[in-house]
Amino acid sequence: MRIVILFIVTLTLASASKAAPTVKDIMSAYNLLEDAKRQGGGAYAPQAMKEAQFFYEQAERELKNGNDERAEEFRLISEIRSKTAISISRKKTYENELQVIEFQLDETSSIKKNFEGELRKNVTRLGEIKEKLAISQDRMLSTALDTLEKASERINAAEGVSAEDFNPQALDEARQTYSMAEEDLTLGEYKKSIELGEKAIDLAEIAYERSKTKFELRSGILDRVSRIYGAKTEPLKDGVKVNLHGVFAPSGKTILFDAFPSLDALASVLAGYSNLPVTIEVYASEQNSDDENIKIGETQAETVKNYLVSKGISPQRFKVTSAGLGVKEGVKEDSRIEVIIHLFELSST
Amino acid sequence: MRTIIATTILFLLFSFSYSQSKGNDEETLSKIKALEIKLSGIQSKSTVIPTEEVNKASEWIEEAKKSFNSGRPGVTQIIMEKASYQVEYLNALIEESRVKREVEEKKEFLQKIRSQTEELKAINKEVENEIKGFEDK
Repeated sequence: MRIVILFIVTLTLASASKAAPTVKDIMSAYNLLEDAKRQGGGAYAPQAMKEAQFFYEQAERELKNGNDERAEEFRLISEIRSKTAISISRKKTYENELQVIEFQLDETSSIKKNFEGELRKNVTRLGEIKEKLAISQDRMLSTALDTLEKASERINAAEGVSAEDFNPQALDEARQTYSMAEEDLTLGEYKKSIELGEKAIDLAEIAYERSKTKFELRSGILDRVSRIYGAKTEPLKDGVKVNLHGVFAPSGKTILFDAFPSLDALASVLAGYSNLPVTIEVYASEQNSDDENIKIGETQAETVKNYLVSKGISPQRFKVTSAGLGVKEGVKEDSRIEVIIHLFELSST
Repeated sequence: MRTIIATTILFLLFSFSYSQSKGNDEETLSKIKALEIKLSGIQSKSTVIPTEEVNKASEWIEEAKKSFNSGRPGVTQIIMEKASYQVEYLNALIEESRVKREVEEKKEFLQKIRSQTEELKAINKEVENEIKGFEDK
């Protein structure tokens, strides 16, 4: 059918006798035809290309024959067909490109889907970890608070057995470590706080254990000596001090009769702690010179010692000294006998 | 008698030729009408084709009509064919433009999907690092 139409058109053009405008250069048709070939018209639009070629050849022939009008019509039709072939070719190129893009789109969508799945999985996992961590943090806080409470109790217990007197270093360390643990707690460093709290507990327990025996010993002695008539007692860091007044008359060398019950009671206490060393120190009155006061004091101390030895107390436990005139913070003190019962064992001295 | 026979034959031939010519005229008119409808459809649908190309088709259809009315069927036929090829060309341009637009849209979509994928990748990396950070503690 197409061929018939082409034939009719060709015949009609060939027989047309009407005056036509001057023919243009048919090279434009040739160039378009070549352009269409380069763009793949032969493969993508074979029919249009065939027609473009046909009409171009017709135009060429008519031009040679001097039929400008016909040549112009053929040129026009050839160009239209070439342009159509170019457009179809370009469309085909776009379609090919579209196929590549669609392939890439499928590929990228698949990768995206994988990442979505992975992200979903990781977000769930992160949520679980955070939840566990929150529970763990709550537990840690609770543990840290418990540890600090326990450390505080242990420090109080150590203070209760006068660790400040018997083991001040361990008690100080326990207190400092406790403060650091408290600070870490406020900073949210629960793990560190727990570690320091536990260290504070250990230190406080050491202080407690090392002080407990001496504290009980000192308490026991204090309890007993406080019952001695006329005696004034005072706890010392490493012992117990017993002040006895009126044992001698001023500058006297013999024990007054009224003092014997007190000395007997003291002997009884000392007998109960047979390993503890004892210091007897005499403070004189101001009636004599310093030298005399020293000498009187030495005599009085020896007298007290001898009396106590006579009551069965080992003489090796005693150390006697004379302090002369007793002055405390610029004020003269009464004459007295100070007996210090030391808490360390005799064998260790 | 011969004259009568000859006249009758001529009359019959003339009648046949006339009716044939009338039939061809109707066919040409309906073809022109069909081309007009096609061109009108193209004009209403597309804004992507050059106006001068549309105008050419329109001009040639008008030219075909004038030629037909002038009683030059041969010339009419050529002009109609030219217009018909031009309409076909316009359709090819519309198709090309449609596929080109589709390519551009898909490219844009591909770019969007790619950047979304990159974004997902980066977020996933952050989450993985966070998990690692927790696990290292």
